[in-house]
Amino acid sequence: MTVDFHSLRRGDRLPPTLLSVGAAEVRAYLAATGEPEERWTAIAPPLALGAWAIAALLAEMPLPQGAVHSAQEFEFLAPVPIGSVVSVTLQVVQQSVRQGTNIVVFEAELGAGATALRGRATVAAPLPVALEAAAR
Amino acid sequence: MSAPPVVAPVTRRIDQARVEAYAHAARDWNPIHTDRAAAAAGPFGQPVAHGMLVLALVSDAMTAAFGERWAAGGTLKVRWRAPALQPVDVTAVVTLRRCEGGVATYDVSCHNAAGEQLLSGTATVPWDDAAP
Repeated sequence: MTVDFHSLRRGDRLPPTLLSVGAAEVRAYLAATGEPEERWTAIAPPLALGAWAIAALLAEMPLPQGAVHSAQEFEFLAPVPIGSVVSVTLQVVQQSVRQGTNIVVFEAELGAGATALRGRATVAAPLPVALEAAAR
Repeated sequence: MSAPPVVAPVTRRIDQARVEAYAHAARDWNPIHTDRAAAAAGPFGQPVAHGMLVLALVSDAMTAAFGERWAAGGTLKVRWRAPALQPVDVTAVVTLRRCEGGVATYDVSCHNAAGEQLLSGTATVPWDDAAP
């Protein structure tokens, strides 16, 4: 079951997920971003982990119409070896409404035991009532 | 330890093929990036590159300068300023702001070929400037 973005409130937690950090996935990420593949043969590119943590969020919570990923913070705390399986936890740490826009800040933690990456994503989306008004 | 390194800029073309490859690799199929019709109804009126794909140029630049140190102690804090409307040539620029308290802090930004800023923020890396 997916989560409705506009129903989220501070303190809400999304179901934890497991993420396999495979060599093929790393190569596909590097091919897409254009970063040299030979740099990352033993550990995963940290921003790839961040991208996959965001993907875990999107899997639980499809973004509503007009949503914008407006800001992002990352702390890369420890390298993650390719071949690892890590867990991803997601929590709402801020939620507010300003001028018809719902602003939600998610905190993600990723790791196997110890946290290897912590990230905060700010997502802003117009409230449905604001979208309706704009369409009139 | 010597002064923190100068971080070389990274320039890359982001076109629809790259965006679709990134959508697959990052598992982010938001139609605002990949579906022209859906994107036309969105806030930018046309498909835009993933913000994280633009940010990847900054991480590329930091990795080139710092290697695994970036993956085990780096931080990023950015805000996207404008959409990257593909095809677009994006340049990531990373400039040392200060080095103190064992941390090197850099200003980071990405801009398009017209000079429009797409994102800005800061990056930090552990750097013991007091060590010999």
